[in-house]
Amino acid sequence: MPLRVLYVEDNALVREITCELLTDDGREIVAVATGEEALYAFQQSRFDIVVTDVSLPAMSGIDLVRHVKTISPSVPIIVASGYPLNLEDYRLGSKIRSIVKPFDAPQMNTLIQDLCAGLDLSDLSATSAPKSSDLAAP
Amino acid sequence: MNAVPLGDVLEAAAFALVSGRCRQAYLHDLRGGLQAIHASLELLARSAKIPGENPAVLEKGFALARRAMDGHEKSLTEVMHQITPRQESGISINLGELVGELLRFLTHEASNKSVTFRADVRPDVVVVAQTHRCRLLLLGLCVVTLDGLPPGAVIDVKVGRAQAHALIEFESDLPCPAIRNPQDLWHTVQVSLSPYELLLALAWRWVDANGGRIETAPESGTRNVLRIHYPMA
Repeated sequence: MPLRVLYVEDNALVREITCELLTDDGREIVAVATGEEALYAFQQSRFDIVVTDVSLPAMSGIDLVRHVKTISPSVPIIVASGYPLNLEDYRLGSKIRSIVKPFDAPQMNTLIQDLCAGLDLSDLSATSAPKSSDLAAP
Repeated sequence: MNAVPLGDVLEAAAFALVSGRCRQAYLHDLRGGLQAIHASLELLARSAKIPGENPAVLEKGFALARRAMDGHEKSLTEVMHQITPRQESGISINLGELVGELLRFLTHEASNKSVTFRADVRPDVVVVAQTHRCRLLLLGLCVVTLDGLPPGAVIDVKVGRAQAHALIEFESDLPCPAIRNPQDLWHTVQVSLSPYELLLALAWRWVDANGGRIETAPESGTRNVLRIHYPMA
Protein backbone atom coordinates (compact mmCIF):
# COMPACT_ATOMS: atom_id res chain seq x y z
CA MET A 1 0.00 0.00 0.00
CA PRO A 2 1.24 3.50 -0.70
CA LEU A 3 2.22 5.72 2.18
CA ARG A 4 -0.62 8.17 2.86
CA VAL A 5 0.46 11.74 3.55
CA LEU A 6 -1.76 14.57 4.79
CA TYR A 7 -0.12 17.76 3.56
CA VAL A 8 -1.20 21.16 4.92
CA GLU A 9 -0.02 24.39 3.27
CA ASP A 10 -1.98 27.60 2.83
CA ASN A 11 0.12 28.94 -0.06
CA ALA A 12 -1.66 27.48 -3.10
CA LEU A 13 1.41 27.46 -5.34
CA VAL A 14 3.71 25.87 -2.74
CA ARG A 15 0.98 23.31 -2.04
CA GLU A 16 0.54 22.44 -5.72
CA ILE A 17 4.27 22.11 -6.47
CA THR A 18 5.22 20.25 -3.29
CA CYS A 19 2.28 17.92 -3.81
CA GLU A 20 3.63 17.04 -7.27
CA LEU A 21 7.09 16.38 -5.84
CA LEU A 22 5.90 14.14 -3.02
CA THR A 23 3.44 12.25 -5.22
CA ASP A 24 6.19 11.42 -7.68
CA ASP A 25 7.82 9.25 -5.03
CA GLY A 26 4.88 6.84 -5.09
CA ARG A 27 2.96 8.22 -2.16
CA GLU A 28 -0.68 9.14 -1.87
CA ILE A 29 -1.02 12.79 -0.94
CA VAL A 30 -4.10 14.55 0.38
CA ALA A 31 -3.43 18.28 0.31
CA VAL A 32 -5.46 20.87 2.20
CA ALA A 33 -5.09 24.59 2.85
CA THR A 34 -6.12 25.02 6.48
CA GLY A 35 -5.75 23.38 9.86
CA GLU A 36 -9.51 22.94 10.08
CA GLU A 37 -9.64 21.07 6.77
CA ALA A 38 -6.69 18.94 7.86
CA LEU A 39 -8.33 18.02 11.14
CA TYR A 40 -11.53 17.09 9.33
CA ALA A 41 -9.58 14.95 6.84
CA PHE A 42 -7.63 13.30 9.67
CA GLN A 43 -10.85 12.41 11.48
CA GLN A 44 -12.40 10.99 8.28
CA SER A 45 -9.52 8.86 7.09
CA ARG A 46 -6.28 7.29 8.17
CA PHE A 47 -2.94 8.88 7.36
CA ASP A 48 0.55 7.54 7.96
CA ILE A 49 2.13 10.95 8.37
CA VAL A 50 1.12 14.61 8.54
CA VAL A 51 3.24 17.35 6.97
CA THR A 52 2.10 20.83 7.95
CA ASP A 53 3.16 24.43 7.58
CA VAL A 54 3.40 26.17 10.95
CA SER A 55 1.75 29.38 9.76
CA LEU A 56 -1.84 28.81 8.78
CA PRO A 57 -4.87 31.07 8.88
CA ALA A 58 -7.10 30.53 11.94
CA MET A 59 -5.89 27.21 13.42
CA SER A 60 -2.08 27.27 13.42
CA GLY A 61 0.14 24.34 12.50
CA ILE A 62 1.14 23.96 16.15
CA ASP A 63 -2.52 23.83 17.24
CA LEU A 64 -3.17 21.26 14.50
CA VAL A 65 -0.33 19.10 15.84
CA ARG A 66 -1.88 19.23 19.32
CA HIS A 67 -5.29 18.13 17.97
CA VAL A 68 -3.81 15.37 15.82
CA LYS A 69 -1.70 14.06 18.70
CA THR A 70 -4.79 13.95 20.92
CA ILE A 71 -6.54 11.75 18.33
CA SER A 72 -3.53 9.65 17.41
CA PRO A 73 -0.46 10.11 19.65
CA SER A 74 1.76 7.86 17.54
CA VAL A 75 1.26 9.46 14.12
CA PRO A 76 4.48 11.07 12.83
CA ILE A 77 4.32 14.77 12.02
CA ILE A 78 6.65 17.11 10.14
CA VAL A 79 6.30 20.84 10.78
CA ALA A 80 7.62 23.13 8.03
CA SER A 81 8.45 26.72 8.83
CA GLY A 82 10.18 29.76 7.39
CA TYR A 83 12.42 29.97 10.44
CA PRO A 84 14.04 27.44 12.81
CA LEU A 85 11.57 26.10 15.37
CA ASN A 86 12.49 24.64 18.72
CA LEU A 87 9.71 22.09 18.96
CA GLU A 88 10.74 21.07 22.47
CA ASP A 89 9.40 24.42 23.68
CA TYR A 90 5.90 23.40 22.64
CA ARG A 91 5.89 19.96 24.36
CA LEU A 92 3.92 18.36 21.56
CA GLY A 93 4.91 14.72 22.06
CA SER A 94 7.06 12.24 20.18
CA LYS A 95 7.70 11.57 16.48
CA ILE A 96 7.62 15.23 15.50
CA ARG A 97 10.31 16.89 13.42
CA SER A 98 10.71 20.32 11.92
CA ILE A 99 12.09 21.39 8.56
CA VAL A 100 13.05 24.89 7.48
CA LYS A 101 11.88 26.38 4.17
CA PRO A 102 13.16 26.33 1.55
CA PHE A 103 13.67 22.56 1.73
CA ASP A 104 14.30 20.21 -1.16
CA ALA A 105 12.66 16.87 -1.94
CA PRO A 106 15.60 14.71 -0.71
CA GLN A 107 15.52 16.47 2.68
CA MET A 108 11.79 15.91 3.00
CA ASN A 109 12.06 12.32 1.75
CA THR A 110 14.73 11.51 4.33
CA LEU A 111 12.57 12.90 7.13
CA ILE A 112 9.50 11.00 5.94
CA GLN A 113 11.48 7.76 5.63
CA ASP A 114 13.03 8.19 9.09
CA LEU A 115 9.71 8.87 10.75
CA CYS A 116 7.77 6.19 8.89
CA ALA A 117 10.38 3.43 9.17
CA GLY A 118 8.74 0.28 10.51
CA LEU A 119 5.17 1.41 9.90
CA ASP A 120 2.78 -1.39 8.97
CA LEU A 121 0.87 -0.15 5.93
CA SER A 122 -0.91 -3.41 5.18
CA ASP A 123 -4.20 -2.65 6.95
CA LEU A 124 -4.90 0.58 5.13
CA SER A 125 -7.38 -1.04 2.76
CA ALA A 126 -9.94 -1.05 5.58
CA THR A 127 -10.32 2.70 5.30
CA SER A 128 -12.09 4.64 2.58
CA ALA A 129 -9.54 7.18 1.55
CA PRO A 130 -10.48 10.30 -0.40
CA LYS A 131 -8.99 10.12 -3.87
CA SER A 132 -8.88 13.82 -4.61
CA SER A 133 -5.72 15.73 -3.83
CA ASP A 134 -7.91 18.48 -2.43
CA LEU A 135 -10.28 17.72 0.41
CA ALA A 136 -12.51 20.39 1.85
CA ALA A 137 -14.10 20.46 5.27
CA PRO A 138 -17.91 20.86 5.25
CA MET B 1 21.15 73.34 14.60
CA ASN B 2 18.30 72.18 12.40
CA ALA B 3 14.94 71.71 14.07
CA VAL B 4 13.42 68.27 13.51
CA PRO B 5 9.63 68.06 13.91
CA LEU B 6 8.69 65.85 16.84
CA GLY B 7 6.08 64.09 14.74
CA ASP B 8 8.72 62.95 12.26
CA VAL B 9 10.89 61.64 15.08
CA LEU B 10 7.99 59.71 16.57
CA GLU B 11 7.02 58.36 13.18
CA ALA B 12 10.57 57.22 12.57
CA ALA B 13 10.51 55.52 15.98
CA ALA B 14 7.24 53.79 15.13
CA PHE B 15 8.64 52.76 11.77
CA ALA B 16 11.71 51.23 13.44
CA LEU B 17 9.51 49.47 15.96
CA VAL B 18 7.23 47.90 13.38
CA SER B 19 10.02 46.97 10.97
CA GLY B 20 12.08 45.34 13.70
CA ARG B 21 9.06 43.60 15.13
CA CYS B 22 8.06 42.17 11.75
CA ARG B 23 11.43 40.82 10.66
CA GLN B 24 10.31 37.24 11.28
CA ALA B 25 7.18 37.84 9.24
CA TYR B 26 9.25 39.20 6.35
CA LEU B 27 11.56 36.22 6.65
CA HIS B 28 8.70 33.76 6.67
CA ASP B 29 7.02 35.40 3.70
CA LEU B 30 10.18 35.38 1.62
CA ARG B 31 11.14 31.83 2.58
CA GLY B 32 7.68 30.69 1.44
CA GLY B 33 8.41 32.26 -1.95
CA LEU B 34 11.83 30.62 -2.09
CA GLN B 35 10.23 27.29 -1.26
CA ALA B 36 7.99 27.58 -4.31
CA ILE B 37 10.93 28.44 -6.59
CA HIS B 38 13.09 25.69 -5.09
CA ALA B 39 10.41 23.02 -5.49
CA SER B 40 9.36 24.13 -8.97
CA LEU B 41 12.93 24.00 -10.27
CA GLU B 42 13.35 20.57 -8.73
CA LEU B 43 10.17 19.45 -10.43
CA LEU B 44 11.38 20.91 -13.71
CA ALA B 45 14.72 19.13 -13.41
CA ARG B 46 12.94 15.89 -12.63
CA SER B 47 10.66 16.32 -15.66
CA ALA B 48 13.66 16.95 -17.90
CA LYS B 49 15.21 13.64 -16.84
CA ILE B 50 12.17 11.60 -17.92
CA PRO B 51 13.24 9.51 -20.96
CA GLY B 52 11.72 10.73 -24.23
CA GLU B 53 10.42 14.19 -24.91
CA ASN B 54 7.26 15.18 -23.13
CA PRO B 55 6.49 18.81 -23.98
CA ALA B 56 3.36 18.92 -21.82
CA VAL B 57 5.21 17.91 -18.65
CA LEU B 58 8.04 20.33 -19.34
CA GLU B 59 5.62 23.11 -20.17
CA LYS B 60 3.81 22.54 -16.90
CA GLY B 61 7.15 22.64 -15.05
CA PHE B 62 8.11 25.90 -16.73
CA ALA B 63 4.72 27.43 -15.96
CA LEU B 64 4.99 26.51 -12.26
CA ALA B 65 8.54 27.89 -12.05
CA ARG B 66 7.44 31.12 -13.76
CA ARG B 67 4.53 31.53 -11.32
CA ALA B 68 6.84 30.84 -8.38
CA MET B 69 9.34 33.48 -9.52
CA ASP B 70 6.62 36.03 -10.23
CA GLY B 71 5.09 35.41 -6.81
CA HIS B 72 8.44 35.79 -5.07
CA GLU B 73 9.18 39.01 -6.93
CA LYS B 74 5.82 40.38 -5.77
CA SER B 75 6.62 39.40 -2.16
CA LEU B 76 10.01 41.10 -2.39
CA THR B 77 8.36 44.26 -3.69
CA GLU B 78 5.82 44.19 -0.86
CA VAL B 79 8.50 43.69 1.78
CA MET B 80 10.61 46.50 0.31
CA HIS B 81 7.53 48.68 0.33
CA GLN B 82 7.08 47.97 4.04
CA ILE B 83 10.67 48.48 5.14
CA THR B 84 11.62 51.43 2.95
CA PRO B 85 10.30 54.76 4.21
CA ARG B 86 9.57 57.26 1.50
CA GLN B 87 7.72 60.47 0.94
CA GLU B 88 4.76 60.22 -1.35
CA SER B 89 1.60 62.15 -2.04
CA GLY B 90 -1.80 60.72 -1.27
CA ILE B 91 -3.21 58.07 -3.57
CA SER B 92 -6.41 56.01 -3.59
CA ILE B 93 -6.18 53.03 -1.25
CA ASN B 94 -8.71 50.24 -0.97
CA LEU B 95 -8.74 49.74 2.80
CA GLY B 96 -10.30 46.28 2.61
CA GLU B 97 -7.52 45.04 0.32
CA LEU B 98 -4.85 46.70 2.45
CA VAL B 99 -6.13 45.21 5.71
CA GLY B 100 -6.49 41.80 4.05
CA GLU B 101 -2.89 41.97 2.87
CA LEU B 102 -1.58 43.03 6.29
CA LEU B 103 -3.45 40.25 8.09
CA ARG B 104 -2.18 37.68 5.61
CA PHE B 105 1.32 39.01 6.21
CA LEU B 106 0.86 38.54 9.98
CA THR B 107 -0.49 34.99 9.71
CA HIS B 108 2.62 33.36 11.11
CA GLU B 109 2.94 35.91 13.92
CA ALA B 110 -0.63 35.17 14.95
CA SER B 111 -0.10 31.41 14.55
CA ASN B 112 2.93 31.50 16.82
CA LYS B 113 0.92 33.13 19.57
CA SER B 114 -2.27 31.15 18.89
CA VAL B 115 -4.06 34.46 18.39
CA THR B 116 -6.76 34.62 15.73
CA PHE B 117 -7.51 37.57 13.46
CA ARG B 118 -11.12 37.68 12.29
CA ALA B 119 -11.61 40.03 9.36
CA ASP B 120 -14.90 41.51 8.21
CA VAL B 121 -14.11 43.91 5.36
CA ARG B 122 -16.18 45.67 2.74
CA PRO B 123 -14.53 45.57 -0.68
CA ASP B 124 -15.53 49.10 -1.70
CA VAL B 125 -14.03 51.32 1.00
CA VAL B 126 -11.54 53.64 -0.68
CA VAL B 127 -9.65 56.54 0.92
CA VAL B 128 -6.94 58.89 -0.29
CA ALA B 129 -3.84 58.62 1.88
CA GLN B 130 -0.10 58.13 1.85
CA THR B 131 0.25 54.38 1.42
CA HIS B 132 3.39 54.06 3.50
CA ARG B 133 1.97 55.93 6.49
CA CYS B 134 -1.38 54.15 6.28
CA ARG B 135 0.28 50.75 6.07
CA LEU B 136 2.74 51.53 8.86
CA LEU B 137 0.07 52.64 11.30
CA LEU B 138 -2.36 49.82 10.58
CA LEU B 139 0.38 47.20 10.66
CA GLY B 140 1.78 48.72 13.85
CA LEU B 141 -1.60 48.69 15.56
CA CYS B 142 -2.14 45.04 14.56
CA VAL B 143 1.34 44.04 15.78
CA VAL B 144 1.26 45.77 19.16
CA THR B 145 -2.27 44.49 19.78
CA LEU B 146 -1.05 41.00 18.92
CA ASP B 147 1.90 41.39 21.30
CA GLY B 148 -0.32 42.36 24.21
CA LEU B 149 -2.72 39.44 23.97
CA PRO B 150 -2.64 36.02 25.64
CA PRO B 151 -2.73 32.79 23.57
CA GLY B 152 -6.22 31.96 22.36
CA ALA B 153 -7.32 35.59 22.09
CA VAL B 154 -9.22 36.92 19.09
CA ILE B 155 -8.74 40.24 17.31
CA ASP B 156 -11.74 41.38 15.26
CA VAL B 157 -10.86 43.75 12.43
CA LYS B 158 -13.64 45.44 10.48
CA VAL B 159 -13.50 47.77 7.52
CA GLY B 160 -16.76 49.46 6.60
CA ARG B 161 -18.51 52.79 6.21
CA ALA B 162 -20.11 55.17 8.66
CA GLN B 163 -21.83 58.05 6.87
CA ALA B 164 -19.17 59.91 4.83
CA HIS B 165 -16.29 58.17 6.57
CA ALA B 166 -14.44 54.94 6.14
CA LEU B 167 -14.50 53.04 9.41
CA ILE B 168 -11.68 50.76 10.56
CA GLU B 169 -12.39 48.99 13.81
CA PHE B 170 -10.12 46.86 15.97
CA GLU B 171 -11.73 44.97 18.83
CA SER B 172 -9.64 42.83 21.15
CA ASP B 173 -8.94 41.81 24.73
CA LEU B 174 -5.96 44.17 24.85
CA PRO B 175 -6.18 46.35 27.98
CA CYS B 176 -7.19 49.87 26.98
CA PRO B 177 -4.70 52.61 27.95
CA ALA B 178 -5.98 54.53 30.95
CA ILE B 179 -6.54 57.67 28.94
CA ARG B 180 -9.79 58.92 27.46
CA ASN B 181 -8.65 60.72 24.35
CA PRO B 182 -5.89 59.62 21.91
CA GLN B 183 -5.26 63.33 21.32
CA ASP B 184 -4.00 63.56 24.89
CA LEU B 185 -1.38 60.95 24.06
CA TRP B 186 -0.01 63.17 21.33
CA HIS B 187 0.17 66.22 23.56
CA THR B 188 1.34 64.45 26.68
CA VAL B 189 4.77 65.28 28.11
CA GLN B 190 5.02 61.69 29.33
CA VAL B 191 8.08 60.05 27.80
CA SER B 192 7.22 56.47 28.65
CA LEU B 193 4.49 55.79 26.12
CA SER B 194 3.94 52.11 25.41
CA PRO B 195 4.24 50.98 21.77
CA TYR B 196 0.44 50.85 21.60
CA GLU B 197 0.13 54.39 22.96
CA LEU B 198 2.82 55.67 20.60
CA LEU B 199 1.03 54.23 17.58
CA LEU B 200 -2.31 55.48 18.85
CA ALA B 201 -0.85 58.99 19.16
CA LEU B 202 0.54 58.81 15.63
CA ALA B 203 -2.75 57.46 14.33
CA TRP B 204 -4.57 60.36 15.98
CA ARG B 205 -2.26 62.91 14.33
CA TRP B 206 -2.63 61.25 10.93
CA VAL B 207 -6.40 60.95 11.13
CA ASP B 208 -6.96 64.39 12.65
CA ALA B 209 -4.85 66.08 9.97
CA ASN B 210 -7.08 64.49 7.33
CA GLY B 211 -10.41 65.43 8.84
CA GLY B 212 -11.21 62.18 10.62
CA ARG B 213 -11.42 61.10 14.23
CA ILE B 214 -10.48 58.22 16.54
CA GLU B 215 -12.51 56.64 19.30
CA THR B 216 -11.06 54.23 21.81
CA ALA B 217 -12.92 52.69 24.70
CA PRO B 218 -13.36 49.44 26.56
CA GLU B 219 -16.69 48.02 25.49
CA SER B 220 -18.69 44.87 26.08
CA GLY B 221 -17.05 44.31 29.44
CA THR B 222 -13.32 44.03 28.92
CA ARG B 223 -13.17 44.22 25.11
CA ASN B 224 -11.07 47.12 23.85
CA VAL B 225 -12.44 48.87 20.79
CA LEU B 226 -10.48 51.25 18.58
CA ARG B 227 -12.41 52.98 15.80
CA ILE B 228 -10.77 55.07 13.13
CA HIS B 229 -13.12 57.30 11.08
CA TYR B 230 -11.38 58.54 7.95
CA PRO B 231 -12.93 60.59 5.11
CA MET B 232 -13.90 58.56 2.06
CA ALA B 233 -12.24 59.33 -1.27
